[in-house]
Amino acid sequence: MSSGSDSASSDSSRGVYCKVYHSPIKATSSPRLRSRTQNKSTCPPWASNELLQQALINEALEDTRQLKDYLGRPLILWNAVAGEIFVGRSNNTEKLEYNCYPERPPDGKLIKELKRRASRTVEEVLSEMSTRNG
Amino acid sequence: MDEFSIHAEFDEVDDAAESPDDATLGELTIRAGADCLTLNRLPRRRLGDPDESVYGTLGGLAEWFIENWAPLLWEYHTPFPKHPNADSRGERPLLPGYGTAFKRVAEPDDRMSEFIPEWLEAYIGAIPEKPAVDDREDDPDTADWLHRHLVGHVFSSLAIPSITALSEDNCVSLSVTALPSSMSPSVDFQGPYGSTRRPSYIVVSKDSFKSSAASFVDGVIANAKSTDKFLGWAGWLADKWAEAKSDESNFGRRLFWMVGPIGAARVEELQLNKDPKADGLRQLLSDSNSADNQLVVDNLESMVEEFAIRSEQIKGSPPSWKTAFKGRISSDVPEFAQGYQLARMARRNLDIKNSKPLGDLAAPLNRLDVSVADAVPTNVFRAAVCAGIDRRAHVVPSSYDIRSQGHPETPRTRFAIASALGRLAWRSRLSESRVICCAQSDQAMISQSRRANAFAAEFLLPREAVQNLREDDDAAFHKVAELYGVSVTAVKWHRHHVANDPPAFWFAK
Repeated sequence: MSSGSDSASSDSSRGVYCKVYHSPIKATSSPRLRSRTQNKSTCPPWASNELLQQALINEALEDTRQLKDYLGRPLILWNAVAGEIFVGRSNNTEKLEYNCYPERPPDGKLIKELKRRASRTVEEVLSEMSTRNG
Repeated sequence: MDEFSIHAEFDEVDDAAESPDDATLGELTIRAGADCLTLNRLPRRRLGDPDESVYGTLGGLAEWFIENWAPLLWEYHTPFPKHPNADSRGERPLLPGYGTAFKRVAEPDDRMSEFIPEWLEAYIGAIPEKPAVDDREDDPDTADWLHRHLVGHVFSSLAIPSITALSEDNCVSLSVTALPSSMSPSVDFQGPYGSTRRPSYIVVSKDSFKSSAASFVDGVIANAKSTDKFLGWAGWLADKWAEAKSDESNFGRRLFWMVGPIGAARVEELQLNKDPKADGLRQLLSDSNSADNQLVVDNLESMVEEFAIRSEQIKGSPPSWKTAFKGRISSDVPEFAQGYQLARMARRNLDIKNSKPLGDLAAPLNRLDVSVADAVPTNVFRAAVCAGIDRRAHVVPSSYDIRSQGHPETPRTRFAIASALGRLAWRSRLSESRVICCAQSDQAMISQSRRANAFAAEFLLPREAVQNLREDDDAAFHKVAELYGVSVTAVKWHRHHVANDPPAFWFAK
């Protein structure tokens, strides 16, 4: 996979589904799921923007170990914006969705590119996406 | 050495479970001896009892163990210099982990960059060529190493403390600290005394680490198999687990992680030919810097040949180094305290008074049937020791150090030689091997280095020589340093330990 942010690395078939802790609690969520899970990191509030999530997951970089999930798709993805580095881990569901959270250190071979991406603002990422989408 | 345990209490699988991970929900408790590593409170809560377990999906953690099983148990070398005494100040973790090696990209924090272990030069003989671990946020090798050794990294979002695990022979060194607040964890990990967990270094038995982690993974797979909904995923995970265990049990793969591909190939070849050098070379490579290079492997093999296999045979009785270190050493004290006790035992068995400076090291070493060989020009160790079970042992200093050039009378070389003797002393108590080879280097095993360096400090400079020194009496420090042939910094540090550590660390019960 390309390590740049060119369109070749974009994959809009991916989705973000942060299973418990990073998405808003809904009335339909299992009480057990929504009340007690404890997590090593929490996304900053601006990361709840669904357009931003989709933009980040579309252009995310595959981990260079190229590990596969249960259905043979990339298991781990990386991206960064506004000083934060995120990992996305496949939920292993039929629909290709990733559970995303801040993580460090990133894949060693992607550090340089992720630092570059981390220097972007949220607005820059959203603007880039809207340009791509015409 | 403590026992390690991971205990999981799984929930029944909920009908609402949406992904395989949700079939692994449960409570997790991790302990090292009596220390509950997962002891936690909600952030900013100070009242009430803390919880011993964390709750969440455990599948990611199981996947992490599966993915990294062989390197977790057999990768001895690190991409940064190990500093075995670097946590003497208790201010930072011994190994990188969350919040120490990598910082928020947008908020650089240079507080740690001031850490220069000035005492290290005197204590273990070298200022590290690379920056301290806290400053290596851009180092790809360190990042990739952390993928394999920082428990749960990437695979799991479950809150567990920062636990970096480094396997070494029959033990696993754990560097444990709280998650940094910059990650906004949903719990605050507590230390044994009720406040936020401080960096700690814990040594656990490898057997307990391996068996407990394996039982945990088995439990996750069994729980996921308890529902038809995720049978496919559970079967896939079980297959990966079987592969990982098979890979880990392969002798060649273990060697690969221990000493790198070039060294592994040679050790395996020697082993196949039943050559006694095999074990010595493996031991020496495990302790040496950047040894995965054909020339280095050849040179180390020659050393094993000359100083362990073909060394002078001691006729009639075992060599003194085999018998001089027998006696009681406390098992319930840190490994460095075992080094102090071992050094006092050595002085006692050699009839050397505890206040007496040793002068030339050659004489006491000779009484132990140990010789100091000419220094060799190598940067893969500061001093090595090679011994055949019924033969004279040899300490081999390096001449690479530009200040000491391996001259045996310089404080740096004396310390390196004494530290090498400390390794031999400990191994002579334990080893069933026909050959004992070890080295003092930036890649030597941490727990053994801590024991050996403490041995060297106490052997050269017994507590009686420093216990009455006043902290502000610089002239006295210089006088003692000159008399005992150690550096002034070593005198200061040893006095600090004598003044602050309990006497039980020096005297076996």
